[in-house]
Amino acid sequence: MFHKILVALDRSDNSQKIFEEAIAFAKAAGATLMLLHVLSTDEDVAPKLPTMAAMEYYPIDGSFFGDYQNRWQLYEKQGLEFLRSLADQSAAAGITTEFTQNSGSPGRTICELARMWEADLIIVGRRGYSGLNELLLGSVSNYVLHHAPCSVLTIQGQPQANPAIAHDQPVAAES
Amino acid sequence: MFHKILVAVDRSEVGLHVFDEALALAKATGASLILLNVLSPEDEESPSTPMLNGHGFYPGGLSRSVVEIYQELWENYVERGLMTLRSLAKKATAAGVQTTYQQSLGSPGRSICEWARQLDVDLIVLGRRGRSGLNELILGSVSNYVMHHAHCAVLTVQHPPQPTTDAAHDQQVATV
Repeated sequence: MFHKILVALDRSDNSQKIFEEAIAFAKAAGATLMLLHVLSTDEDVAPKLPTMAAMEYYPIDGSFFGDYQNRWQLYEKQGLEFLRSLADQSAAAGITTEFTQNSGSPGRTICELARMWEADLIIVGRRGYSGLNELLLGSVSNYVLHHAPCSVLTIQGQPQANPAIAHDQPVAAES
Repeated sequence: MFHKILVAVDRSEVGLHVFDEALALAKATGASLILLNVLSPEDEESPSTPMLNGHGFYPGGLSRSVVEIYQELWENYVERGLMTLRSLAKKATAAGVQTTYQQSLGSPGRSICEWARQLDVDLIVLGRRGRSGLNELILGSVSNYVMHHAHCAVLTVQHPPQPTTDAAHDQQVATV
């Protein structure tokens, strides 16, 4: 049975479902939880680096870059708040819970932490990308399945609408 | 939480380890178990098709036809699978878990996903053979297929990689 469960969460709608499954799982197994959020430019809610469309240079004239930095710090802060609120929920359910926020490539970060923390189970969600979308956007669950040092539970999520639409949102919010 | 768990079992060490994990999980969550044994020519336990090495034809003129021998070996293989299922189901029932079992024929990944959908399970438990690189490309990864095609959650249980498959194949030839 599993004693140390690493739960990889992002700030998408699927995370709530994954978190609930993880809580139920940890309760049944009497395991401790480690909640992980990976800060990554791949995440939909992460701020995008400001580039001018069709002009191949970065307009680094201070204000743009400062703005980007501010938004990144906000992204970090929101991530921590997100983790803290989930950790409170699972502590209330009587489960020993830790949380951490690292930055890097999601798949690699998850596997590294699993090795360091000596997890015996990783719980990840499937975003449900397939075909070309999977090839371009990468499948975190696929990477984890192939590189994990321990058992892996993949939880089926609802396939997101068009990821391209989600990418447009932060741009729209800028103006 | 999970209520109906499908476990892919075979007679290997990995298969038994997977079964143990699934049983512990079912016990803890009060779920029911479905044990599935897939008969497949890709299975290391299955008899190899009889051929004369290097000749590329099926030898005839033996006292019993080679096909008959192959058939007998295959029936043995089916029977051994059933025996494993029966004994595991007995063990799970004794532990207080409601258990059924099922044997099917075909490609392991596809069979597992099809049965999971048909029986409307909410979790599939299977082992990782731990193949990677070229071995995975050639021999196929059942866990990879299942993860990409399953309609429900998938638990892959880690097991240390097996040395090579050659040793097992040599044995088969020797017993034949």
